[in-house]
Amino acid sequence: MQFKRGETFQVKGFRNKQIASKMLSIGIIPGSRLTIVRQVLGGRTLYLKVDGFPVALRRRELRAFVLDESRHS
Amino acid sequence: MRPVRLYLAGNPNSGKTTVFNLLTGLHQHTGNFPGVTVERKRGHFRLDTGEEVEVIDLPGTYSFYPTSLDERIVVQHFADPDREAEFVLYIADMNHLDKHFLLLEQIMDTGARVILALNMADQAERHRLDVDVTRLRHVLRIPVIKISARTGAGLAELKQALHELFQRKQAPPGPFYKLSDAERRKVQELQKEFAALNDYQRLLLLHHYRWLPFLSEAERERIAAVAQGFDSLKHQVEETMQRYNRFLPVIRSAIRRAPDTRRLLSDRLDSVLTHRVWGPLIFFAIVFMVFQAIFSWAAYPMEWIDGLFSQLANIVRSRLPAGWFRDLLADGVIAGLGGIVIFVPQIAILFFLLGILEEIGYMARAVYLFDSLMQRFGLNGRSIVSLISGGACAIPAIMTTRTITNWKERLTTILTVPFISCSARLPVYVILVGMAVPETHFLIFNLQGLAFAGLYLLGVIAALGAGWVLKHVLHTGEQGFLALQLPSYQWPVWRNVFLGMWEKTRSFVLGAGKIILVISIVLWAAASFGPPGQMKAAAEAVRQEVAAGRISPERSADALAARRLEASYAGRVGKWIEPLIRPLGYDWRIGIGLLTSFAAREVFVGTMSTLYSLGDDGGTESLREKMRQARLPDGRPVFTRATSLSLLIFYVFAMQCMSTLAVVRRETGSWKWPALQFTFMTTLAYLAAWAVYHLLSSL
Repeated sequence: MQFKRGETFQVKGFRNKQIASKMLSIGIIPGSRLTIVRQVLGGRTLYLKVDGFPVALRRRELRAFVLDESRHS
Repeated sequence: MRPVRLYLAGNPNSGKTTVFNLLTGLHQHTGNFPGVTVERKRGHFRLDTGEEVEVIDLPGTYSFYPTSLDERIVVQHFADPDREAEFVLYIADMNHLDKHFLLLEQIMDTGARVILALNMADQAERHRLDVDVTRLRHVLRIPVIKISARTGAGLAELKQALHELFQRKQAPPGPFYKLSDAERRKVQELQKEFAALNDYQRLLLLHHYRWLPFLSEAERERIAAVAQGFDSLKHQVEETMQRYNRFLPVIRSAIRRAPDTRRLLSDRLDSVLTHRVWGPLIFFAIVFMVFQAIFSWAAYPMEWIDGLFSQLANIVRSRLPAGWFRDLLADGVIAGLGGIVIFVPQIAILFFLLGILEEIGYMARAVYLFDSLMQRFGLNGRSIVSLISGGACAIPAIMTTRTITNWKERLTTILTVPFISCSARLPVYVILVGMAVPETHFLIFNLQGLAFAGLYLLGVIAALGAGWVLKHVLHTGEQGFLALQLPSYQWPVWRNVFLGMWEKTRSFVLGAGKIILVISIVLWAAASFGPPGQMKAAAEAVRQEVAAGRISPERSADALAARRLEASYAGRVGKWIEPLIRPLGYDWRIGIGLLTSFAAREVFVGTMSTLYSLGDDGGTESLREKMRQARLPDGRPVFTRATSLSLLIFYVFAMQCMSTLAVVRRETGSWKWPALQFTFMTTLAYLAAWAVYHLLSSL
């Protein structure tokens, strides 16, 4: 997945248990809807909306998500 | 009567600190939680009914599965069998209740008596969002109060509810979490050893026994045996999901929401402030303005403080009889205190401005913007706050690293921050740049101004370079996280800004201040005392030179001071290290300056003014002039351009600050890291200064 601006996904689960632990704590859970809003220069960090609430995540962290692609643009 | 203890708990963005400040005002003090360097804020207030309440602010965390030292404190507290039966005021952001119920339920499941405050009610009203409080009360079976810590609304109701909570002897509601069969079997095995705990608390032991500090070794081994085959992460995920599945429908049914307009304003601001190009540019403009403000606003109070302390010293000198006690007071204690207080204006202004940026929600955006860049240098987006603070003083800057959850990234930040040119380096830069760089213009730029900018830039490059090296040298298995919530922009709560500034400045004065004071006194003693025979000989030599007319009588006191310093223990050490610093272009006097500036770098300037007070008999020329006229025994000037630049470079890189080393020791828990830091910074400083000196001397 490229994680381009405007893409929307639904969280199905997590591949990495440590990431899962951290994400569940801050309220990103299976069923949450993610929208990629923008990224920084270099693209390692992303600005997302999770169920409408803005969250910053590293691209590496996002790769550990199991996502259901339901692309909107 | 003993005060009732009330613990404040909640997520990081719940407005917990605002509630704490609202309840306690200035009746608060900061210490550490026992055994760790996590800040513990304590305060007290009185209810209208007369009960005295002691409030303890627990670190903000999202759940009982901590990722940082700060967050561990919370689990540690609620799983401790020896804790007293306590009351908890749980603060939740009413606008995002779904994010705040996980920790609430976990805390309630430990048997604590909880009151739930739905904070930010004012914001919710503007968002046209409402929560059915009766329904939440009914489901949770605890008091639920709507408040707004920003405006103070709901405070009276909250206090009333607290009063009722303290009076009633009601058992806490039963646990929400249903342990799985496997979990139940395991916790039952621990029943005998931990009879004071409930099932859920024993489950927490199984998750966290490796680091929980209150466990004895025997207990730890016992739990480890029971925990065989217990997959902590798997059970954590199961627990969390069970809780979410239960409370999300409850919250949804209790919330009434109309379309949100304020979020849109925040989004519009973010489209500029977090823009990939404009964002960083705006950030640098803000940092530039912050430092501009620090240096221009602080100049006046610093002048007053300087004047005040030199007057104090003069009063002591004129009122007390001559002797070592007078000198200790005037030159050791008062000078040392002045050396601390002089930094207060800059530190206070820095933390005032950073406090505003934090309060309005901008800091989280800065962290987002720079995380990517910082990662390349082994740092974390959160390091940007520490690096900026380092521009005023490394000590509070190192204390701000506590929010970095990854140990390697936090350690790297701690080790690299002292490279950033702090305000104590500034007086040294001022003197030396004036000597090394002519006051002319290059194109439209003032050459000295360019030199200053260059020195600061060099510090930044050194910090990032060191980070890059450490990234490849340090190895820990830990995974770094960003996972950062970006709260809506809001107006600052001024009470928080001022209390934060007060608290940071106080911790600098009390923490670093003590060390600076002690070192000032030690250095004063080393510079005032020497082998008695040689001190006498120095005085005799001056007397003879005055008699011979080589020194005018008015100048004899200055000459005596300089000769005595040369003969003192400090002077002897300076001479002793001279061979070591000779290759950098320094003589023994600069050596003394390097040693004395360990108390704080700006002490270098004071030492130089004592050492070079001999020379001409005009006495009105500036220190810089005197330094220019200083000669080596062979008649060559001491401060050539090469020496001055070499010394400047040395001060950019060297770890010339005892207090910072002491703080690094405290924050890392071992002498290993400050020792390593001292070694690599001094080595780098030495090599760079050597290179500069030789390059310029050979031109």
